[in-house]
Amino acid sequence: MSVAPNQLNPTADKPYLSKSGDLTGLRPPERVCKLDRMGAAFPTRLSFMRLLLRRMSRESWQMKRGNFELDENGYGTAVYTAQLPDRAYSLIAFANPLADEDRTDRVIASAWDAAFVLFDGIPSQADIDRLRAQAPLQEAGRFEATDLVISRANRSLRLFEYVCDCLARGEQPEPTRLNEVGYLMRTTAVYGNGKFGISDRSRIASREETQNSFQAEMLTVFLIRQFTFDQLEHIASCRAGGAPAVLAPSLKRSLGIGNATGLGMAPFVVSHPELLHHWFHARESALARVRSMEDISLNDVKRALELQQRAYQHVCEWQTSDADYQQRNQELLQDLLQIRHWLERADAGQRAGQLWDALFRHAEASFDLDGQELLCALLIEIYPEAAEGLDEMFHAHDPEPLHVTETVRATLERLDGQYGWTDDFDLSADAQNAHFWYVSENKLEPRFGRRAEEPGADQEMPVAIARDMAAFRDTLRSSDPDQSLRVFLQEHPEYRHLARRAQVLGRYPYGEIRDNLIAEGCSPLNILRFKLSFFGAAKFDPKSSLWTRITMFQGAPLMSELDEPWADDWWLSVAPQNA
Amino acid sequence: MRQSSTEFSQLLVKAGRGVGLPLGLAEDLIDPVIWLQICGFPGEYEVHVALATLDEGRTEARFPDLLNTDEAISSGRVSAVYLATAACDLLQLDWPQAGEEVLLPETESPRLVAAALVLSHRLLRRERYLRIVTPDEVFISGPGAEITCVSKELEHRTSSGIDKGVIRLSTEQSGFDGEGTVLIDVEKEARFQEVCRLKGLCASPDIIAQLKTFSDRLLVPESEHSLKFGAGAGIVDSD
Repeated sequence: MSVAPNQLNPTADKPYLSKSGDLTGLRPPERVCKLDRMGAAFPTRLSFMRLLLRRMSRESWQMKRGNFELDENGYGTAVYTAQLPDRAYSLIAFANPLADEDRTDRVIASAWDAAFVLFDGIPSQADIDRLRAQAPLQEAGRFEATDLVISRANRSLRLFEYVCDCLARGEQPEPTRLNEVGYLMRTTAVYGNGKFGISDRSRIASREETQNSFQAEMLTVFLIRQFTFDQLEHIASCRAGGAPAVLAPSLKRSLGIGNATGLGMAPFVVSHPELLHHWFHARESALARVRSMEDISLNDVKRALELQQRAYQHVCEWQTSDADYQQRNQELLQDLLQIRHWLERADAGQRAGQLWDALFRHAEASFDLDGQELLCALLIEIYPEAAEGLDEMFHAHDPEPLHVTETVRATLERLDGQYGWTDDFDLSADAQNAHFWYVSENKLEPRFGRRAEEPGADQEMPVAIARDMAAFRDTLRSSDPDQSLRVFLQEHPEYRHLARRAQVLGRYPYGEIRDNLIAEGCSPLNILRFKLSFFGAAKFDPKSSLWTRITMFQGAPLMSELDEPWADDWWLSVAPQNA
Repeated sequence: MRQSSTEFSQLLVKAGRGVGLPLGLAEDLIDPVIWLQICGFPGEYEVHVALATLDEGRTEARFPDLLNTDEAISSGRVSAVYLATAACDLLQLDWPQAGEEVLLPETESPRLVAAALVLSHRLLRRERYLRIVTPDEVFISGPGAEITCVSKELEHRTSSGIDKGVIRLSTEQSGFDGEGTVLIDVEKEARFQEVCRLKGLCASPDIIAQLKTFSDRLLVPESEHSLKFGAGAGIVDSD
């Protein structure tokens, strides 16, 4: 069924969001901005990778490989350029020897199999020579305003050599072996937005193609993916005495780029509440649109069943060593079967009404969180138009000043409304103050410590919003209600940043994680998974509650396939049956 | 040394926190310092002076009562960070009143305070001009969000005496009166902003290093336990 125009008309009497910010029909923040539900998130068509590839296809970006100077072991330099109508972006890859014992994904690493820079334009030889010296240093290097993103990656010891060996012998690797890992290389950081002297986001923020969240970073990873294929085939061909060694396209598509994601993402989410709001808001708006639809066609039900089948297969193929995730995935498979049974039993009367809303409510009543969130992503996936216009929200605006003229009474009233949820926690209890977030002097690695057992809590990062907002409210409560906020903040300057935060978030109700991020049971993994799902990542494989491996662009079209009619249909991809 | 404004902003906040500023005050440093840097002033020097003097106890970490200027001026050298915040907050109360000239307390970085004031005034979109006279420059923020900065003629600069480090503040009906060398106007500022947008900032490597010693106070020393368990991955985590 195509969605009738009035079903996307914000002025019609429909229970979904209008662009003005009305939350009618959306799942509210108190429901979705919770760590356990965030930790059950799945990628959707609003994911940043999907946004990028759709744009590349729509605007007919010309993708090509330029310099490719690798030796027989795959070491050297390669350049890939994305040519847009008005400008170009180039990935420059530097591959260097690395001993196995030096290979680590931690931030504390100092050498990698490959280092990358996304360059604004087409690099000259002088640019390439400059970056050849700096890129392998990563955080220790210095960069220029033309350098938009830096990244580094390590080979998968499990897979790279196996695939190379197969190709060198003229054979294709086993799809099941590829699926066990899902990538040939794994990035361990992708830095943008002015870090380490690279370009400020302001340089590209007004460009249509980079206005939205993390588009430059996603382009970098997409081109790195292409590099991994080319490097692999080059090495294999050299080993085969120059004979062609080409990995089958279907197998290439089944490979993404891995990533080892640590704690750094979590403080970002806390320190960028406006962005967080936009991400939630867009997803919930898309979901609300779908839930509000009526008169669902048999074709749409068929599409839902196709997606259910694919999701089921995807979860079956999802490899993780984490026992909790293994258990959750087993339960998720049961919920997916329920989706199928429910849809197969849906009759014409149900389809004439709000079928998807009925299924959604059934899931809320019957499924675990993973099942509920996967269903939400599936529903959005059925209708491309459900996400129309929503990605325009994905960028932050200029901050506004702190307004200090209101009274303590007015401030407290507002905060009680916004942060009343912090009353759910007994913040005087040790269990609610068990952890602290900090930055290690060792290469500035973000870490998560236990307050009673480790030093450093007096240098903790300002991530404990629940605790701090509760303290702010308590102090307001014990102050003269007619006092101005200006005077109050002079007496209590430690709350100034919270006053500013609360004023900004008055307009962004989804901008706060409504949980205590320093409590005993807090799992930072939930924050990582939420943000990674918005990147478009899948196949989460936690190594602890602080660290997870994921795969990006797995199932995505290749650089040469962006114009294919199926190029956007790779949500929760599954392994090919054969090459 | 080239810096991105993001990188420099983060350094400012961390350096501020490193010398003991509450986070909200450290955040308040960003806009005026970056603006000074963009417009060709040694913003990194100004903020370093402000933070170093605060750290060494040579300025006072308190908010002066600017509504009681006699008390404010007589009570020693106030940190530019605290003075700027106090003054900017008062602007929201339509301070200073029309026709009133206010003498702000002596401070180690009048330029930092002036930058904070003109930027705050710009956001408020008041009908009258705000004129800020420092020992070396005159800053004017106008109702159309325009900012003008004029270098005082040499004979008018204040190099010593009771007025050194003191700022005169007033709201007026008109802006720039044509006297002095224009350092910043609408066109120049737009040009400077565009350079920053495309190329970033320049900052003294020595000052950056000194700011970094402040920000490094926020780092937790390495320990075996932290190394092994703090990030959730093994020391050698590979695939």
